[in-house]
Order: sequence, then structure tokens, then C-alpha cells
Amino acid sequence: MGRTNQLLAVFSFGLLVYTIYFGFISSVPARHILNESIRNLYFHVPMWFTMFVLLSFGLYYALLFLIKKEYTLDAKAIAFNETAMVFGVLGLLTGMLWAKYTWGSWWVSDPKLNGSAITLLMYGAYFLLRSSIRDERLKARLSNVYVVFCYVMWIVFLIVLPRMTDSLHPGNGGNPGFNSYDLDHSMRLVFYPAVIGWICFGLWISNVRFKLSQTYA
Amino acid sequence: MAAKSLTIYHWAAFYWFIYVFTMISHAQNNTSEYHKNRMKYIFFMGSSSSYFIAKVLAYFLLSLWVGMLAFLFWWIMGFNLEFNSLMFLVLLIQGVVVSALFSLLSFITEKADGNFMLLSILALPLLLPDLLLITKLSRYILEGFSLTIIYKYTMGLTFLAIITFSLSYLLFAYLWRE
Repeated sequence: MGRTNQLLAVFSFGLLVYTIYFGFISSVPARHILNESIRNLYFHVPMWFTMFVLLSFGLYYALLFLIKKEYTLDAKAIAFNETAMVFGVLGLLTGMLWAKYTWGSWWVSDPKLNGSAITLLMYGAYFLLRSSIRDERLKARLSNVYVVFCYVMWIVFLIVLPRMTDSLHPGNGGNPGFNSYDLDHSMRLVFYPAVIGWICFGLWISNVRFKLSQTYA
Repeated sequence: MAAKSLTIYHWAAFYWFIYVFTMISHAQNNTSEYHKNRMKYIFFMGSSSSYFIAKVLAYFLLSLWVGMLAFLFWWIMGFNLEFNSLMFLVLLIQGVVVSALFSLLSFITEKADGNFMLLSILALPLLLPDLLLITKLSRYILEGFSLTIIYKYTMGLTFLAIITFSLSYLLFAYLWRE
């Protein structure tokens, strides 16, 4: 566990240095309105992918806890969910910055944006539920039931519903995703390492958080 | 500057917000008024699935009653559009969503025996997208949009109702007793 975690840290650190350097330096397709803001693909999208992966790990450990009733699994679930929320907030902030320069506003009422805000609210309610119960066993049981519900709901609201209705967001509601602009596949050379790098970074942070919670328990 | 008049969209939003907040306050009262030995008796006598189904049925009937009461608000405020059969169908499907969700969440808040705010804090984020969807849907119905659009949104709502009900039913077993 310790050894793989260190390797994960070194690996993700290398990839992130590469993506942040080439994310700003490499050439990108010149597009009307988008211009250089297309580089947000390297920073905004990996945040949501990482959040998705970490929340899936959180769900996995929550389900495992409900079946096995081992309290270290509950500690793992909360570590993954907390780290995922940091990535969610970062994804929201990078998205807002991009929206300001391409849509002309920090926030628009759009199914995708509302869905992401509601996802953060749901997990906020989950943390609040945890903090309002004193008994550790009861806390673990109730909050893990709630988080399974939250997970399914955020998949519906953030991934299914925006694709059904009209949305401004690229890749939703009939809009082309950024992959259609990448004609010579040069953006993928930075995008894929960025996704892998941020996911590994998120996993490393979650593992460290889990260990910390075990140390001070 | 002339005052903006209320559109059908506002009336639909009023309707569903009255509905949801009334349901939340009812769900809170329901659990807090139990005698402390009553749950022990239910644990002893019943199973988790039968208790859940009973709870859902009770909340479902309550939701129909509350839906009719919220309609009174329209009537009193002089909003003259009829509450047609499509709206009633939407009320039925929404009743399934709300009753399944509140059966699960009121049990969680009851176990947590926390303050009365907890239920609304837990329920509202899960209900907000549903509220947005249903407000839009009831506006389309009241404004007489084509049936293809209404059908699409009704299918979305039904899908949501199926997910909410099955998920609450499955998860409720894990809340039941140590």
C-alpha cells in the first residue's frame, strides 16, 4: 500500500508537470470565439473525470461497508468523497472562468451547470448528515445509505438529463464536444496524460487522507 | 416601469414548491410524534419491506391530498386554468417520487434524531432537479404544448420515479435494525 502510493504520487507529479507545461505551450487549433480558451480542456475536463472516478471509489467502499460492516471501509468512503468534492469545486471554478470568456457570463441557468451545483449540494448534505450524528456506527450506516442514493442521483442529473434536454455545454444537447475540433490529434497528446495525471493525483490524496484518519482516530 | 405580471411558469413553480414544502413538514411531524416503544413493536412485528411499502402508501395518499390542497391556492388566488387530467397524471407520478424519497429520508432523520432542519437539508438537493423538471412539464401542460414534448418529459419523470422507488426500496433494508 505504502509503496504503490508513493509510486502513484511520483507518477502523477511527473504527468502533471508535463501537462501544465505543454498545456500552456503546445499549439492548439485556432477557433472563432474559443481562441486560446480551448486549453481549458486540459484543466477543466480532467477535474470532472477525477471527481467521477473518486466518487465511484467512494460508492464502491460505501456499498462494501453496507455489506461487510467494517468501519475502515467507511473511513475509505469518506476520504474518497471528500477529495472528490475538492475536485468538483475546482471543476466548477475552471468552468466558470471559461464561461466568462466564451459565453460572457460567470453562470448561466443550464441543466449541466445546475446539475453540477446540485451535485455539490447533495454531497454537502452528506457531510452535514455525518457531522450531525455523534454515534460512529449509526453515522457510518446512515451516511453510506444516503451517499449511495446521492451517487445514482448525480449520475442522472449531471450525465443523463443534460444529454436529453437543451444545453449550452460542449458535448451536450447536440453541441459538438472539443474532440471534434482536434483534427490532427495533437490535443490528445496533452489531454490524455492530463486525465491520467489528475486521476492518479486524486487517488494519492484520498489514500493519504484515509491514512491520516486512521492515525488520528 | 410597469409591474411584471405572473406567468404560467410562476404559477406552476408556486404550485410545486407549496406541494414539496408541505410534504416536508408532514414527513417531519409523522416521525417525531411516535411513542418511543412503537418502533420496537414495529421492528418486532414487521419486516423492512412491508414497513417501507406501508410508509410509501401513506405518503402517496398524503401527497395526493396535498396536491389537491395546493390546487386550492390557485383557485383562491384567481388563477383560472383548469387542473386537467394530464396534470393529475403528473401528480400521481410525482407522488411516487416524493413518497419513496421521504419514506427513506424520514427514517434516516428519525434514526439520527437530529434537529428538524435535517430532513429538508437532505431532501431538497435530491428534489431540486425533479422540481425543475416538473415545473417545466406542468407549464407545458398548462400552456397546451404538443403532446410529443409532454410525452418526452413525462417519460423522464417516470424514469426518475422508477429509479427513486427501486433505490429507496433496496437501501431501506440496510437501515433496518442493527
